Amino acid sequence: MDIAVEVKDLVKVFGNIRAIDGISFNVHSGEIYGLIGPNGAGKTTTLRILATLLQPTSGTAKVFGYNVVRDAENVRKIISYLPEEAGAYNQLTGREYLEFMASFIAKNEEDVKSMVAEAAQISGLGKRLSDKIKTYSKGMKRRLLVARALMIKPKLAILDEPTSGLDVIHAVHVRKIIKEYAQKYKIAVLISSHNMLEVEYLCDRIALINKGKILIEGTPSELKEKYNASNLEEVFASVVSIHG
Amino acid sequence: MVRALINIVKKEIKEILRDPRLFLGMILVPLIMFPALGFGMRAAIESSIKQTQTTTIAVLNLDRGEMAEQIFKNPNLIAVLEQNNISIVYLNDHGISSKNEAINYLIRNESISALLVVPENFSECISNQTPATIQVYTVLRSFSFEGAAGSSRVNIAIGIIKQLLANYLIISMDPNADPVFITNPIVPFPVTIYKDKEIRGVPPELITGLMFSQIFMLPLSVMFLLMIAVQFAAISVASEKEQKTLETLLSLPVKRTTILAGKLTGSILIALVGAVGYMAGFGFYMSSIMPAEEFPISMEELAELGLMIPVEGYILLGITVFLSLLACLSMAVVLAAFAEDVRSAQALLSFLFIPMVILGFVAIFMTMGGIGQEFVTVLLFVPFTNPMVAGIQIFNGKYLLVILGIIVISIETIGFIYLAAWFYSSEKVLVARLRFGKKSVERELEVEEITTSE
Repeated sequence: MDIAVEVKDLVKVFGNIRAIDGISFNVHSGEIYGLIGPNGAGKTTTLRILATLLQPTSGTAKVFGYNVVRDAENVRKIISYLPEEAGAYNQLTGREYLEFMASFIAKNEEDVKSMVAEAAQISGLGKRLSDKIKTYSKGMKRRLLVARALMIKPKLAILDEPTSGLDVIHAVHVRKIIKEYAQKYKIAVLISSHNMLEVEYLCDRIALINKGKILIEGTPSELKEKYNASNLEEVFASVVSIHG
Repeated sequence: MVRALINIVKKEIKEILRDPRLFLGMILVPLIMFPALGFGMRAAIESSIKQTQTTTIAVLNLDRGEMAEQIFKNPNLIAVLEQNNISIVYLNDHGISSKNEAINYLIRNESISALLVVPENFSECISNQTPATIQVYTVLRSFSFEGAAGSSRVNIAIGIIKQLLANYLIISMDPNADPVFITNPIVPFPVTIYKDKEIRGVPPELITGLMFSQIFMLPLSVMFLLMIAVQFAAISVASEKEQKTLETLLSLPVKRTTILAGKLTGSILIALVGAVGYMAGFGFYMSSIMPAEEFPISMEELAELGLMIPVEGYILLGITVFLSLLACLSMAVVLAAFAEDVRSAQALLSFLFIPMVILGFVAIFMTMGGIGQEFVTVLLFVPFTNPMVAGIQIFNGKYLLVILGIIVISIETIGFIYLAAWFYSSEKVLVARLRFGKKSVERELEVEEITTSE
């Protein structure tokens, strides 16, 4: 199985804060990998480094063999990044936004059309795609952004809290789509989430991260068994209490 | 790369044109404001001209002699005045014989523009060749164009009366004399020498006026262009931060320099439209309030004489404007990246650009006053003020100095573009933040607060 993401001894320091403190993990092609942990654990910083937005202080991070610092441009060609607090251009319509985003990846107009059609299906926004984004609710915006991230069928999707701001119905829909896309198109997905239910449903493997360090890694069932827990929340609580 | 650039430019233009705050505030209102002012002023002037088409002047003759009556009732005078749409009401014929009654009459009758009171000793003064004083009473009814226009027509009437009186006196002294020749024995023909060239038939004040209007209008239009472009570029970056779209944009497979170039190009294009609109509106406004006098020589002749900027001057000016635009926009996009929203970006920019605008204006006025050449030359080496003062130097034929300025700001512009490209290629574009604390002097460059973002 191809290694989609290879992170080795990654460290990121902001001023006098060690946001990431020597983490290592791998994500395989077609795998959904979850980073879970409390606020300030280092999840978003890790995802931003992999999305080539931040540079590591030390250590290496590679995406399908491309170094995120040296080969950043090649990395950007095969990834799709959805930030947690992402927004969209309020003055554009949903369709114009998708076309704008697709045009950087598509080879021709036909590709743009097919990507936008795909996004329309993922988002379920229908006729509302013709309306300006400023008229969208928070949930509609999030669905549009998830659709934008998946419509290009990237080799690696980096999704930071993908269902943040969605109601239960739409959150279920989006999780289903992510899982389908990962299986159907062999997309590697790296997710960060607070929602243990979501992580358990979606992820093939997870890593618990706290204070910039990975405390434990494995499949949800392995971890539950190891800590004799009925769900991942209990696992998380046990791990944090053991590691302080 | 070209496709990506076009995409970004199209997106930038769409966003600006569709944002009512930007479109109304920075494009539509100024575009409408100046022409509307111009229309208003023109309508006011035209209406006042219509109202003052016939000016009526009252005359109270207190002269003990006969000379005043002979003059004011002279058919020649009345005919000449009528040709100038001026009519006379001879108050003595209406039973008015005192000054107070005449003044009351003037106040009561709004159609009367002025009252001329001929003194009792008028005939005596003229006979003794002593100037007689005619009191001119005018009621200031409103601060309108009508009042100003009426007043100038009273002066015309007095001029005609003076001329007629002079003619009368000349003929009374020598019946064979030609009063027209005696009162105009010489005809001045102005010849102005400018840069060793003779400009025939044009007085120096006309040329100075022309030069000043160009020296002032040219930098003003350049300043408009720079200010609008800088605002748009800064807003473009700050709104990416405000709308939280910057991270997504920077993670796309497009070079950061292309993103930067797209933002700069979009801002320049919109600013050009805005600046042309501003200047067209402003030009219309100026022409409305100051109808252009017929200039005695043609534009082509003026260009040949070096009184208009020649083609090579415009090329140099174009280069300085372009370089300055790039330098200022590069500065603006870097500065705006430190702001968290559009409003802070605009506040941040005003700190930098308002002093520059003031400097530019000081330079223009100093040049018009013919002082401070050293100061003006220094401003030639500053990107924002360069095109404002380069125009003046081109007028003065100091091409070498302008070229030296171009070389210096080329180096500065390359530096600013390099800085902007470096800034956008690094993580600083995302994490740098300039925070204004309670005390304005306490500013600190912060890294992102990771604890709150996760």
